[in-house]
Amino acid sequence: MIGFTIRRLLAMLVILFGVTLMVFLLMSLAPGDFLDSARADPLTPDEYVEQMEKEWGLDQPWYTQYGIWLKNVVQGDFGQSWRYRIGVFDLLLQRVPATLILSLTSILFTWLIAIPLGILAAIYKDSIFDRISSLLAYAALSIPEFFLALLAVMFAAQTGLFPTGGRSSPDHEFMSATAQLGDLAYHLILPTIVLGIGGIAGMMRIMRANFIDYMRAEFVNTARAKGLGERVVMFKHVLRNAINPLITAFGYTFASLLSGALLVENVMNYPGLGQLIFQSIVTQDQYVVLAGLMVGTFMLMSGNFLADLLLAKCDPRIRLEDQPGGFYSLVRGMVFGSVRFGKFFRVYPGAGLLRVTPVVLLVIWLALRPWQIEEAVSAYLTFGKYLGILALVILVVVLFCGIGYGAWRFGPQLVRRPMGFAALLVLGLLYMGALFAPMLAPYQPNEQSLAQGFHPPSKIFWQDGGLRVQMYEVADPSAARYEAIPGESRPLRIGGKGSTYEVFGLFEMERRFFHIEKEHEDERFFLLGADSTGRDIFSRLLYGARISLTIGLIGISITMTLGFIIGGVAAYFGGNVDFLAMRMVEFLMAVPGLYLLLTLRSVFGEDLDSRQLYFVIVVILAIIGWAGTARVIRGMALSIRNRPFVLAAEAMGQSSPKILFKHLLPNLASYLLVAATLSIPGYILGEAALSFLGLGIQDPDASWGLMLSQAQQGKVFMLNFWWMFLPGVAIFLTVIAFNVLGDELRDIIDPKGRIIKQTKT
Amino acid sequence: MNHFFGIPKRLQFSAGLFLASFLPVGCGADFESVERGQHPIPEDADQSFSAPGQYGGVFVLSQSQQPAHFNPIADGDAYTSETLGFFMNGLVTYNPMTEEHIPELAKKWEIGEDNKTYTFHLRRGLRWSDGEPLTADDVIFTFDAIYDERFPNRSALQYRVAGQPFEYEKIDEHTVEFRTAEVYSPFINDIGWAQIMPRHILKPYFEEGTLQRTWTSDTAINEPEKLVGTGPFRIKSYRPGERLILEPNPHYWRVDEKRQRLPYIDYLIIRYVSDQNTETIQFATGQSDFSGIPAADVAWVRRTEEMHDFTVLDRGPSTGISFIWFNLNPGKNSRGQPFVEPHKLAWFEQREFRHAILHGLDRPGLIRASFFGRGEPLHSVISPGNTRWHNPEVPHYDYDPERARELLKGLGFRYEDDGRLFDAEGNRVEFSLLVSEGSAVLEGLRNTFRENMADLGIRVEVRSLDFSALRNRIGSSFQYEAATIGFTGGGDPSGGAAMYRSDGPFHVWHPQQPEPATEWEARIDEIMDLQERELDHDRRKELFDEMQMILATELPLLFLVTPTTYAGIQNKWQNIQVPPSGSLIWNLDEIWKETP
Repeated sequence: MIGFTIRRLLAMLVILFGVTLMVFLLMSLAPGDFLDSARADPLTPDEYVEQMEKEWGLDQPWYTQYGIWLKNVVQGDFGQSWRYRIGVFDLLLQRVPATLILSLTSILFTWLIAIPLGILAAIYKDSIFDRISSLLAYAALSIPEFFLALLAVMFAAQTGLFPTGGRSSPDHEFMSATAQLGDLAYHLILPTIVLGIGGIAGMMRIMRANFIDYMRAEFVNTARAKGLGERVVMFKHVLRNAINPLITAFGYTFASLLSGALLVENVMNYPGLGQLIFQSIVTQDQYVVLAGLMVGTFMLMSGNFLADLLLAKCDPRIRLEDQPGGFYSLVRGMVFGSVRFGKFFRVYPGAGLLRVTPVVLLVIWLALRPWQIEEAVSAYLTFGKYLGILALVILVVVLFCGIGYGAWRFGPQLVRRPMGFAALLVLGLLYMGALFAPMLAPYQPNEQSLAQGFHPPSKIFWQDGGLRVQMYEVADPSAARYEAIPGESRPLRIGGKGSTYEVFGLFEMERRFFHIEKEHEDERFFLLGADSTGRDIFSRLLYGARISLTIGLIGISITMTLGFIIGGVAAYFGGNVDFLAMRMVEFLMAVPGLYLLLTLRSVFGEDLDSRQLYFVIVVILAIIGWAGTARVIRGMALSIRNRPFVLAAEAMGQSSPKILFKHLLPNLASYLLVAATLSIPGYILGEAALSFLGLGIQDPDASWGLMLSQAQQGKVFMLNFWWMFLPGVAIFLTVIAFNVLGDELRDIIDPKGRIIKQTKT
Repeated sequence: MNHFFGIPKRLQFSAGLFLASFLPVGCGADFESVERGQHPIPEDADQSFSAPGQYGGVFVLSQSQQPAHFNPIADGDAYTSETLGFFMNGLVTYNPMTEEHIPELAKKWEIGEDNKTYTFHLRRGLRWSDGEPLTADDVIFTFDAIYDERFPNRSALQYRVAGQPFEYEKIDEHTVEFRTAEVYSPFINDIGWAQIMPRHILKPYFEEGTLQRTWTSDTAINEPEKLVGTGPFRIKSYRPGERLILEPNPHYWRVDEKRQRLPYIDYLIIRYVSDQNTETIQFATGQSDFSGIPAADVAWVRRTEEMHDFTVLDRGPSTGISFIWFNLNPGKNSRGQPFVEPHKLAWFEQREFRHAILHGLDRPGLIRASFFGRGEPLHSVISPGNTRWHNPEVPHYDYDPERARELLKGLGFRYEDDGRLFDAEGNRVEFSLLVSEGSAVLEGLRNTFRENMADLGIRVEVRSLDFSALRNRIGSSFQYEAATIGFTGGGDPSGGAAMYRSDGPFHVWHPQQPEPATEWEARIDEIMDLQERELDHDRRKELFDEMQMILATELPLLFLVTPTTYAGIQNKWQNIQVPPSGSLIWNLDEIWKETP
């Protein structure tokens, strides 16, 4: 146990070091620094900027800066924040407890809801209650955190029951100690609920399954046979056993809450670590980002570590040991390797890393040497364009193979299940909507009508043998209030002709699905209302779906391909390759996903148009996403690797790639499919979150996350422009459909839930 | 199995605990009232003309930005100087009600016969918030620091006339004399910007050369008592990202008719929130005492006026201005490529082209969409909000796409059958517009401008950049075609010299020209020189009218809109005086709360 702890702590140190190195490199690659705004202000004397550059070390190359920073950190000095002009450590001291408390209360909240619900669902298994609660849990799992946060802020602002943000009241410092505590708690209620609700489903599911398992256990029968009351049996015997595994889940939940906290804190204006890191990334306050990410990573790793420890404590059958080739062996290799140098390379697989590192560094150095780093990056991006086209072709093939395989293999079974069918139907409709957006959308996505900002959804009714659309007039322009004009309506034509558009870039068409017969040029109809400049939300939703829905598919194709190749190769070859791949995986998984996403995003400059951004987002999401997949696949592949048919293929002298693709791939395909389906929501939510934060797709292009960001304005929810929240509903529907689909697929392939773990990003 | 009800004891207990810990504990804050009158009133105390009030009350403000530091001489933004204004003073200040300069730390001043000498007489008996006396030495120290080359700062750049720094000299303990190299009419206006710093506190840092690195946020957090000033308040505590608490300065130099020392309020609390939106919501839900209200939010904020007992005031047009402009810089970058492609520069340089673009922009529509109709198109570089200086005679360019097309055709542009616009050489008319993120008007503009230009057959690509990146493009790399930005405004237009003068850094369309590129720019330079030497207000107004006329005719800046400004204030506060422009709580030291 002690050995394990020490090893894990050492590994943590190494990872922390790696994270800071990576972040430092990324931030130095990102164009500009925190002095940009001072530099760009013509009234700021140049001498002042120079002085500041010198003082803050910006005139040094990044590795020197990093070295200085590292030296200071070892001495306990985490540098200064430019934005706040105070020590980073003091800043963190103020923010970290806030996030820590929020995470803890969220877990508590989740448990308090999930455990009773899980127990009840187990006891009344297959009853209406069970169905409804599992449906609700699904819904809770699928609702994007930032959307929920938005709704919570709206609720607080409209009712005045809860504070609309902050961690404490303005008069906090004048309160008595108890009142202060109460004040803090009062401000925690909404963020806690928002952050905690997503975890309920998973927790409830575990609780229910465990409870059912133990209800069938023999000791329960014994207890009943002894004549014990049902309540005693349930609570004394079943519950105590069933609750055990939940304790281990504590650590994992804690770790996963961090990424969620970033969004929730930002939307709900809760001054915690997440908000701090986000703002610091945006203002390039690099020392805060570094330290913040370190703390975030540390919290995540210690959460996982805690989970492992608790697991061992609760279940004596589990022994805490690293897999061969873990960090421990690397450290051990380094320690003993220096003593017995010759043997070192042969004995310890970890030493492979040391062998590879100089080569990698040399390649990077050579690649970046001829130019300034910025130019090098842009040169590689151009080169990357051609690679990109090739990759795209591969991806499309992978995508179609994947979908085709799934349809052929599981289609019939899925359709027979009501939930599966419903999910397929919803997704089918959504994708058809996106595909035929130009035909279905009554207007262009950026076609505005300034006189009709925040126009409410038009009423459609049946009259005189046809559908008619109600017309509206402005009742109060200063509040964007519209009233129906009595008796004024226009016939709604289906399949009429509108303005021309291109279909798949091939031919032009005029026919549109919906169409009203206008009497005046600027009459419009808004199926789902209009946004601030009078753009049709329905049309934008359809066009936005093209981005939001494809990003998941493309992203997942990349990660699955990468994950399969890396995971498969690692498992098949083992040794150094395996070691290297798995350490990379561990490293990527140790950094909180959303933080990494934002840091990576900041590297890719300021002025990218939407198309480039789309590409960038996919790549970033894939970079972050492949790690988890690779690990799962490696595990699966390892179990197949020693099966007789693989050995037979080897014996027959087949080449490695052939074995990989001919024997491993088909055997893993079903699992890959399920894993892919279950991780698609992660991509959709990732893009939505980025666009929502203003770092993703830009206006005038539409994406659901971007559209939802408009709903953040006070006027939208105080004047009840509820249709502005529809993009959130669309995201919710898509995510829930993918989650249900994935679950159904899993039930078909892996009914006992042994192989594939439920994931939520 | 069906005989199940109730929840297990242990869980019940924890659930109870959980709920209990979350029950809102009623607002149990006890503000200790502040002790007053423990220090003698200065001999030359300034007496307020407002009706005397009562002590007490806490004034809460929400702000979306916070100070970078608390140092008057280090480089800071508007929020830093606003915060400094709570506890620091200059020699002179500006009364927004009378629109006159009034004495602050100086009780009076004399202007010499040559119109270049200014003698300031400090109030007698002034004390810093730590009780030390304030003398002419502090003023001298302040200007020594400003002009010291070790401390590069923006005041040093601004406090120059004809390239010469002001000369200043201590006459006696309470008298300081300033001399300018040339006659400089805005002198009194400008001198008020300099906040007088306490020599007895800052001298060591001055000598060490670390003056710009002291009075940081750390100081405010750990040793707020070291931030010594003369303003109505002093800093009590600071938590970055959460709140700043100020309390009355016991040595403040203003009193009311009853010789009660101002300010009346016990505490000023500024709480920091993430954005303007939250600021507004907090005010509308009664959680803050005062807030500016964006035009589009007025409708819903007013709904809770009665419930939370506040008033939303209409303050008329904003003094700020916003505009689009084309890059008219004919220069080349370090690689020898022109900043703007020559054929595009040729379009942009034509005055009628700029007129056509502005005619093509649906500004009333933009106002409807972005401000819910609460605003008006802007026509001059000085906003109608600046009533004293605005020239209402300038030409208007109303929304008229037909006229725009005619103007373009008149310049030799021609339309294809599909409505696309080409120039005489057959180049497609297209350009990109840089927009900075996160401003209400610009959000709406992004789409509106693109669509309006598409109606004219012009393809516009709108790019969003963060503000510092945008400033970098327009101020140093010049790699852009068109951009848009907004400026705050108000006060004496001589403050806008950096923008009007052809050699100014904010002459955005073609900054820092060695020689004026056009005749009209030369004329504006001349006007700016003339007005500096002109002391007669009417004559200066004429000059600025002419300048506005030139800018509106040549239209290097395509003016956008000026929203109506609104501010809300809780009704319990007395002595609120609404000035035509500027902050509503400019007289925070005179505001008091009626206790029932």
